[in-house]
Amino acid sequence: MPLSGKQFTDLIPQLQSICGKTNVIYHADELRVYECDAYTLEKMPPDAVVLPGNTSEVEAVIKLCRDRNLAIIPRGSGTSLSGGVLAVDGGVVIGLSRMNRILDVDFRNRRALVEAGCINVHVTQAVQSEGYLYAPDPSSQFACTIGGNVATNSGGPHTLKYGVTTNHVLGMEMVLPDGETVWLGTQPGGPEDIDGCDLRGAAIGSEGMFGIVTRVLLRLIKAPQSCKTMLGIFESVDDAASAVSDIIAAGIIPAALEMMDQLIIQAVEEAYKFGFPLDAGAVLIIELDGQTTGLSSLTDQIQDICRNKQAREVRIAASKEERALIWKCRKRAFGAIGRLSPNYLTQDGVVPRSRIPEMMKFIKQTAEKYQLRIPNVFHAGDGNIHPLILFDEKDKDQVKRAIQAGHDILGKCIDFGGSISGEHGIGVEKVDFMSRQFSPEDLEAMMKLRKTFDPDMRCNPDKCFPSASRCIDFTLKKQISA
Amino acid sequence: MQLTASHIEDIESAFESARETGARISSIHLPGFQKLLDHHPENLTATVEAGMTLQAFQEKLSTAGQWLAVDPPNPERLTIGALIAENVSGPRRFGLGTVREHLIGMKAVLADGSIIRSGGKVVKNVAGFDICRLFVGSRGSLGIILEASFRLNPLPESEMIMGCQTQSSEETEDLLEAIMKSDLNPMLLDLHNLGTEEQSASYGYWQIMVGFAGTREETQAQMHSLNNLNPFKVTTLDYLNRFGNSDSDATPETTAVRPSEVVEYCEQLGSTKFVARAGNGVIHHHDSSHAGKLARNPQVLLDRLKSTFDPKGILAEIS
Ligand SMILES: Cc1cc2nc3c(=O)[nH]c(=O)nc-3n(C[C@H](O)[C@H](O)[C@H](O)COP(=O)(O)OP(=O)(O)OC[C@H]3O[C@@H](n4cnc5c(N)ncnc54)[C@H](O)[C@@H]3O)c2cc1C
Repeated sequence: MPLSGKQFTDLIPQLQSICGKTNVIYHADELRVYECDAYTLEKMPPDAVVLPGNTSEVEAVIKLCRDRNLAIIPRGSGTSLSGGVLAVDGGVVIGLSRMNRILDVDFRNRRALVEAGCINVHVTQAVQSEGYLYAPDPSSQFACTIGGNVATNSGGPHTLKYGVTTNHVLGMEMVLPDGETVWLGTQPGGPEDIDGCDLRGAAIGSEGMFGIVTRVLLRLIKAPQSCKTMLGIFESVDDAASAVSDIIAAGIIPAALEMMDQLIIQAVEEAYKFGFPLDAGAVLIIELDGQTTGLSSLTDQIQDICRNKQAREVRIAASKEERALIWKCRKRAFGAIGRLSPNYLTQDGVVPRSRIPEMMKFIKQTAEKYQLRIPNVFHAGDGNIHPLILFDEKDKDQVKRAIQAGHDILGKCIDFGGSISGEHGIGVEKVDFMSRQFSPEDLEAMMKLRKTFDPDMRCNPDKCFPSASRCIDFTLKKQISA
Repeated sequence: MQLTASHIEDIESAFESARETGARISSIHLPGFQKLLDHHPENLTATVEAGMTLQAFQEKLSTAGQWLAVDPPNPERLTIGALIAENVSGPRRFGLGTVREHLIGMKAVLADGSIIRSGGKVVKNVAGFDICRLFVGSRGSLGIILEASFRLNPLPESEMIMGCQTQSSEETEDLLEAIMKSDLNPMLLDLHNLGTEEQSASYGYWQIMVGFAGTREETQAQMHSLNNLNPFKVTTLDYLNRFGNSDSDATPETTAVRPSEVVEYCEQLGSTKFVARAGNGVIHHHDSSHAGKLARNPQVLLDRLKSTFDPKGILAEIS
């Protein structure tokens, strides 16, 4: 419930006294920056935004909100693609952007302690000279925060081999919505193992609904000795998709296995000028890494598999620079979509990897059925699709068709025994699909877990679970994301 | 009380009598739940009932050249349910992680009798909260695990175990550190004082154990690089049996420290036998005066978890 004038005028000075005047944002025009995340079709400004500088300030802000029964909404960099930081019903956004330091790096024990607002890529940048890295590498890694990654259990191209955020977070400090600070999992300076339930694991992927994460203890891994990046160039998506399932079925787990289809290749080529063949049906980016000596036989095996699937060519990146450019093209592919269409909507459902060829066919049929263009750029090795449904928001009929196409695709993921989200989370965007993937009992158990952390359900409310407070209009529009 | 279930109804009636008598269900046996429900080699995933032993599961997976990449002791007795609920692990956890890294889905029955699923059968999935991991290490306190889905690994083409005797704690720490900081990618990094196989009677010599797995080409290359750091000999994992069998009636103590503190800790153990996961900081030993307590979860959360998931207290105590 948005605050009344009196409540509001009271609140601001108190927030200011905790975090300092400049760190409280409450003017309507300034709040506009915070009215949505990278899912831009729904907008709702919070009542205020505070930017605390340390854990005790977070605690003080939370206690103030607790006493006034206000919703609190944790926010990192706002790159969520599911409306995770939308202030659906007002409340105070707690932004972690000032808490962005790397506090300690311990190479001997392969750990780094960071504040939750630390930008993902800064961790690897800080440790790579010693030959280490932080493995989860979402395409948004230059912008998104570790706290946001923890809340969404982020993945990225290299999580195929190395695992997602939950496999690389040892522990975390969390301020619970009642103001109490707890440490979950491995403590800084403590042993890796702790007794009992894996509460750290339970809290990762909780979409900001359990509390505010303030510090995170990350696992560092040794950077692989060498890597080999290949481009498999195929005549059709079909062939590329079968090559993906053949690679996995052969028991090869590359470090990354990504697919781009023709429309994406063309957009990316225009934007970043790599030299992709514009007439190729699909390109696979296949990266192997590990011990130098082990790579050559696997490279041969992968080349054979690709050729068996009629690959026109398998190119191997000749230099570090070429590899970097390939990854730039892949990681910034979403950014190139502006050249194709004024708007797009992306889904990130998952199917068993052997169903990728069928899923790609289904997406093609769906595009034809609704007379839409749907390019694909995705984590093929994980079965994690990212169809980008293009539309023009000025064409209302097209908007409707785009939404319906998105629904059909998510429905198919469920039918194939998959999941509605592999990394972007449910947020407000996919709320209505939860009851298609899960039974009422499953959802009830999740609610129990949530209440363990947040008995009043004040932390990031109106997310993940279907709730009665939402209006029809909201339901209609919410499939569209930036 | 002990729960033995051949059918889901047996669990329901056990819950019923626990509610009536106020006795907690402290041990769980699921002889009726031992089926492999699905195995998709082409996806490297499988779903299995919780009463199957780990060994039986591994045998089935191996027919397709795959395995669940965990290696806790006594797999012939350890059920899948216990593997998760007790969160047990073995020496290869350094390279392969513990069961939490491989678990992708779960079906369980909660204290109120509801049957729930969490996660799924795909390798990447963020839909819904992670109740699977909540159950890892839960020791039967939150519900009874009925089924679990895992991501699998291909069985490595080759595996190589290498051992090297060290003369002093300084040399041990230097060598461990050098291995940790090198380009090597060991799957196993242990330290023990059980001597070598030939010396089996004479304890006291410290041995660093390093294991590699992968293609033959890879393990050979890593072996050579390791020998360039320090001369090692090809050996076996026999020390694990020798530790398990000595003092057979005493359950070993387990202490956890940071990896950098392993050597110092082991030195304090004196002549007590130990096997340490040097890369993870877990030390199994027989000195009860050194029984280290693990850090505990925040009590406030444990209390609330228990009161929401098992308000009548019919399941085991939570930790
Ligand atoms: C171009 C682009 C590419 C992307 N590529 C990927 C990708 O490859 N893989 C992937 O997984 N995602 C991807 N994303 C999605 C997004 O970047 C991730 O979800 C990321 O983890 C969000 O981080 P953030 O700091 O921006 O969090 P925000 O967007 O600010 O918040 C996301 C969620 O986390 C919660 N949250 C944030 N900080 C905290 C905290 N400190 N404590 C508790 N909760 C918190 C919020 O409440 C919200 O629910 C992409 C997004 C874009 C725009």
